[in-house]
Amino acid sequence: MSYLIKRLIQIPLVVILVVTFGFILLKISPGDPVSMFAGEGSTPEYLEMIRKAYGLDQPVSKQYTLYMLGILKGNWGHSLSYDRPVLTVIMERIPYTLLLSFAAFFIAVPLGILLGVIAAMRRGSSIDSGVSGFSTFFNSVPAFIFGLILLYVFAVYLKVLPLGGFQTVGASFPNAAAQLLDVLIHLILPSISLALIWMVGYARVMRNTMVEALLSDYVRAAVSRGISRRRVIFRHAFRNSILSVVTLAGVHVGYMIGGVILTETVFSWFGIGNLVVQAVSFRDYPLLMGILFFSSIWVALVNLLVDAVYVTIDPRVRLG
Amino acid sequence: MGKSLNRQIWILGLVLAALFFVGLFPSLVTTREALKSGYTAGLAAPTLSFPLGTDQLGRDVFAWVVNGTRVAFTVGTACTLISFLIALLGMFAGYYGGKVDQVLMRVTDLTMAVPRFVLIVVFTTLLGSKFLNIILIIGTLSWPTLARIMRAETLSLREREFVLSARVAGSRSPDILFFEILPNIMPAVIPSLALQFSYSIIDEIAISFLGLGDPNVASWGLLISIGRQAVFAGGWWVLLSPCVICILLLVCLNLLADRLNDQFNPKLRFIQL
Amino acid sequence: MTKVETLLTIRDLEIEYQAAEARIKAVDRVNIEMKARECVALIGESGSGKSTIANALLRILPENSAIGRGDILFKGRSLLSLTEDEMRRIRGADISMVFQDPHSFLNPVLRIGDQLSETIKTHSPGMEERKVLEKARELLSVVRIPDPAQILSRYPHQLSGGMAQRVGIALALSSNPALIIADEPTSALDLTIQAQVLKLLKGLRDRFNLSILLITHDLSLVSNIAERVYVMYSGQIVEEDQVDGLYRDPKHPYTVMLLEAVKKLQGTDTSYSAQAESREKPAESRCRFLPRCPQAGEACRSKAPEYMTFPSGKKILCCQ
Repeated sequence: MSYLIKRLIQIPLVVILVVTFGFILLKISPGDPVSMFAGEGSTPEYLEMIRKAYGLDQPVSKQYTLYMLGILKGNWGHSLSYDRPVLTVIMERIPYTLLLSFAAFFIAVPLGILLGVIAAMRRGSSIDSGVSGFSTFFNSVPAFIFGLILLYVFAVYLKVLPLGGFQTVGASFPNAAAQLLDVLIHLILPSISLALIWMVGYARVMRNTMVEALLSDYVRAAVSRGISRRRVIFRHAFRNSILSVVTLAGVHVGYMIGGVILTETVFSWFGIGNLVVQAVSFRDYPLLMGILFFSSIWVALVNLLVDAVYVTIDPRVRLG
Repeated sequence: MGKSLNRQIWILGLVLAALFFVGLFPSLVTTREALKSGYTAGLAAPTLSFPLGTDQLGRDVFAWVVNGTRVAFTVGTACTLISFLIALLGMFAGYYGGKVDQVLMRVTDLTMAVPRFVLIVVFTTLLGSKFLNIILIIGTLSWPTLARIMRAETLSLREREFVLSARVAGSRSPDILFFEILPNIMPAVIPSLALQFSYSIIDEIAISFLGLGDPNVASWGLLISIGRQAVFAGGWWVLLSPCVICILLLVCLNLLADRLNDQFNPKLRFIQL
Repeated sequence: MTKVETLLTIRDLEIEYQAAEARIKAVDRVNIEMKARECVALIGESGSGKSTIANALLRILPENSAIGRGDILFKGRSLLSLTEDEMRRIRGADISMVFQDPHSFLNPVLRIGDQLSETIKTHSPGMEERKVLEKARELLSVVRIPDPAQILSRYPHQLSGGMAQRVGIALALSSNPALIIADEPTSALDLTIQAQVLKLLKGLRDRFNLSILLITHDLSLVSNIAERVYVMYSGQIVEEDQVDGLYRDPKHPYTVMLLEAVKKLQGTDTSYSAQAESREKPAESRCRFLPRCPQAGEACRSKAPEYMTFPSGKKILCCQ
């Protein structure tokens, strides 16, 4: 329990460090963001006005303090490209990314676990090698390339699925259900491309921990007491292996933002990943920084959550 | 069992060496320039003269793919080397322990605070899209995992007899580190290096795909992004060529890393896929 | 006079296993007999094959082992010809096992009570929950665990080595077996606890009419509890005798060496003789003890040893 509290305290520390880091980064990078934003041919007075507006004419230390205070208060700056508060822009996009991620999760985790269990139970057989080969292949292929290929096959060549985006542009729907269906159809390709890549990770981890469990002493002891093989697999091996799935899930969810950048770009998905690319193309530094901060908070929170889950599931952590 | 494993490693090594060779001497395979436009009037399907067709600006896809091999290997080698050198810190931390170790662990923890790719994007945006920058950025953001492995291996070797006997014989610490410990942790580190190689390549392709790469470099990523547009005009070859070669290279690298892992860490072999 | 029946007969058993590129005979023409209510000790150093025999009895051999020739008869039935299902019913119910390291043989994420009730329910399906709990508590008190009710809700890592081993014994007892195999039951425990556990086993034997097959490398444990002893070396039984016959008059050179080693440990003999462990592959047709035998003679190098029986009932495997 005290471990969790320690983790909780670490979060603001990490955030402060990341914010500081971001600030330093902004200051040392070449190029003047203001003139880049204002565009060529702006008069010096215009540039000066912008500078004043963003407080860039004040000494660095003062800028830093203002900056830090602002961040902590929720003022993450003003997005140059969207002309709205950074935080608002980010928050607007988050639900879409979450939708995509959880859809992929929903597919990847159960299937991965299933594959892993089957491979473990039939260790050494051709099924196991098949799963193994499948795993290695999808482990090597980057998700976005896979997504691109799927996009080409299904959206361009076969034309059965949409090219991207969240919903069909300009269409009107008779009711909410029809609209939902439209969204789901748009969700298919991106979530599958993410899911397949994630799935093999779960399959691998599940298979390995289960094999280890099945070879372990306590499983042998259980068998020696006459407990049926099926029960041994599910009650003993499976339960102990689930922990490793939780760890991997924690990694996938925690680093989600980094993971979806490319897939969202490929499928023009209206989420945070796509936002990164937009921010980059417009040199929208405030927005980029905001996304950086958000990512670090997200990672910290997810790690905390995973630790909490671990404490609940693994008695050794809880009481040991 | 051991024999077939060895053979697999040799075959994979051979394929990779072939690709590497192509990357090293692209002019042996094609005479055209990768980024030069205008070989044809526009998008052209594969023919004998242009085995992989051309893109919307008349650039030779085959030449691009071939030169892209060079880019990929450059990125892989350079970034892995940079990561490796920085990751040696892990070895120091493991050996000396104490404060040095604590500091290192804190630092690696901090680097895990943000998704790596987000950092790469941010850095590239701020520091500029030159090829050298990208290599430096990717290289310097990849060391933590490697460092941890080196640290763990060093810790386990630190108390072994040959280290202790070297100490007793009066060897100085740096000598011990580089001549006793480093050679012995390499077997465990090499598979991770292979993985790092493939991750760096993926990162560079991703950055180029997003348009953040160096426009003067014939990266597969850039070609893929062009291909993405090309398919709407029917130019599937522009998209699929780099995708296929990229998958080929990456699968080989990952398989090699796996097999190397089996070879060098046999105690894990029995259990791991 | 009651006729004591033979409970267990191991006849000419051979077990091979696959190691790297060679097939090694872990157990070579072993013959063991046990009667009801008898305690028999099987002594040997690590690698002698004794644990392999234990695993073979319950047919929980690891995957790379195979039983070659021979048979195992339990209560008249051949165990090797049973189906897996039938074997499962015997495990725990007729034969059960106590393992060496209690902490690795208990499932770390399940409570003691759950593990006990699982075994109880396996062999008495349909028993009421309340009765199961009662029996679990009873078992714990039989093995002299103080405050059984509390222990039931604990996890293995919260128990000391001695307690955990008692739980292991309770688990082995839970379905009233006729034979308990104790595979190095005390090797992972402190010396003081060792004596307690052995005393417990002896008491249980008397109380529940058990037979105990005690497998160990520690000769000093044997005299307190066993009636007959088999000495194993490199997969073969090299000496078989009553306990006092063995101690008084060891005939096989290996037995002599073992006893000397025990005396050294107990401080009564300070002479030193080199005991190099042989790394050679055991010879198939020659005496396997040849490299270490201080009494090796010409005959030993040229022909295979055979079993000789003495008038006292002792049997040894030797050429002289």
